[in-house]
Amino acid sequence: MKYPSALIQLIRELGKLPGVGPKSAQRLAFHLFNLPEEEVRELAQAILNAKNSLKQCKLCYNITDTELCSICTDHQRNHELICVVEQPADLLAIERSGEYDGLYHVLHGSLSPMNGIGPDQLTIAALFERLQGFDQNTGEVILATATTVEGEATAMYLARLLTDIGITTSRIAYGLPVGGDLEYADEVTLGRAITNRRKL
Amino acid sequence: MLLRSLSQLNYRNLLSPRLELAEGINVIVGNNAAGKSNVLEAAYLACTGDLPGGKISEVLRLGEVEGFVGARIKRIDGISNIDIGLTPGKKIIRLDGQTARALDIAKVSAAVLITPEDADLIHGSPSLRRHYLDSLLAKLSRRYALLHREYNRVVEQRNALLKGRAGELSLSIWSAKFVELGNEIMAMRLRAIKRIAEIANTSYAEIADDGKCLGISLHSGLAASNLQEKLQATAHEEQARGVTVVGPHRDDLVLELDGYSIQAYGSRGEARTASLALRVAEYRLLQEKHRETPVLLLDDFSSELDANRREYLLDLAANTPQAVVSGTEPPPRCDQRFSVSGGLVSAF
Ligand SMILES: Nc1ncnc2c1ncn2[C@@H]1O[C@H](COP(=O)(O)OP(=O)(O)OP(=O)(O)O)[C@@H](O)[C@H]1O
Ligand SMILES: [Mg+2]
Ligand SMILES: [Zn+2]
Repeated sequence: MKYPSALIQLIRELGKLPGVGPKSAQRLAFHLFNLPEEEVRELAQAILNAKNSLKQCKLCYNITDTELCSICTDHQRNHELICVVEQPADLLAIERSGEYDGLYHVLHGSLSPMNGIGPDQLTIAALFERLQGFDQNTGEVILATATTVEGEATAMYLARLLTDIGITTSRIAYGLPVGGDLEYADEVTLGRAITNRRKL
Repeated sequence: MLLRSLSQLNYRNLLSPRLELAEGINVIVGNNAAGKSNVLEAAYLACTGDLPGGKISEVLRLGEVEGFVGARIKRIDGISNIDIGLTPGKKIIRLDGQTARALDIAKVSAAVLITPEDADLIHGSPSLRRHYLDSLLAKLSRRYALLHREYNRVVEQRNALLKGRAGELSLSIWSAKFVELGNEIMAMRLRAIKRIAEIANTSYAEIADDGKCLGISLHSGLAASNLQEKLQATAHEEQARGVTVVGPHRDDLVLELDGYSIQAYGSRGEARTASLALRVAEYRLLQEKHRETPVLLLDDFSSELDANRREYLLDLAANTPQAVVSGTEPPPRCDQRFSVSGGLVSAF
């Protein structure tokens, strides 16, 4: 027997989600089918709501539901410190460590020529625009991209440009495993990594 | 180290789901095409996570899309269960029930596979010799395994950049990363080759008894001394071809007897003895690392017609805690015998 086309379509869409293989997609599809209609409606609504109300912060490109995110508008935080991360999830991981009170800049990826991702595909231009009002004497940029080769290359790329315009730049380094993604580093390691960042 | 049991599903022509192996010499006897080599290949894959040469799609029984091999390994300090799920193009490794990587297996298990095809190590393409070196080093050093993976990734990224319109800054960043990792890889390779050469030279002398000296060295084609200079020297060529043309991924192992390249001048027999010496070096270095002997897998010993090499192989098997030896006829010593026919393996 062939599956009805509506079911096939649902399985295909679910299967596009990260971390969901064909088997889980099928399981999820059957699960959704068995849910009461009201719950399915709520889930669909939640997805649409999130999509419609969430956007990227105008300054740091973090995910937010306001023009500027709550970190950028927090005056208690150190506005002379910008921590550059690849993904919003990395930002959250660093926030959980509780060791950092500066601002962020989310690149939304890392340099990866084989995937067609160059500097123009990331929010690098916006970062440098942001840095135009930056005080060179007191300001600092912390590069907290992943320790994968792509994350390292991105950090090196930014470091060259930042040094050219005379901004103090450091790279988190301490205790991160080779080839590690920030998102999966535990909070202690990450807190230590930020405290013991090295100058580039 | 002992391979206590080997299990499989849909592995080539094999039909028996499970094999309980003994200490000492396990012998697998069967006619041509019975499945002897398949048993040893499955054992090697299960013990190391490494599939020598083949693609996963080839080892799955024709018409099947899923398969499995598993090993139960006994070490002095404990027992490990390795499960490897096989689907075309992908291995799913579990170590004691937890998802793991091949480099995690290298911590708890080791095996050396010696086959008649090993002579290709000498006469085959450089990639076979690089694979010998890289896969051995990855098993000896987790750091090498990680660095090597990163290096390959950088080469891929750099090649993609060379194929497109690369910005100068971007290319210089990837080149710097390439040089940094490449230098580390080279340094680790050189240290390992020194040890491999010492051991291989000794065992060559024991096997061949021809008074010749086996030398092993790394050749990288270009005279320039460091990777940075080599990159500069090949800038035009790599821009034209869109690939990185120098570096550890292009280097080759050169084996010489009394200073003459075996690849170019050696006899078939000298090549076989030299390749056996490389396997012995692999065995000894793994033994050194684990402070325990790896599982020894000797495929098709009966095809070895040279008396010296045959005797050496059987000696090796007799002096290790566990070996699995296959042939069309049984060797003189045998602690546990299996016969194979049409993929069915039965204890004798
Ligand atoms: N993916 C596969 N699916 C089914 N059968 C396979 C597969 N791969 C190999 N075979 C079969 O396995 C058999 C070969 O087994 P193997 O190489 O283990 O033989 P052998 O006992 O070592 O023989 P020899 O003494 O000639 O070396 C062949 O008949 C081959 O067709
Ligand atoms: Mg065979
Ligand atoms: Zn913001």
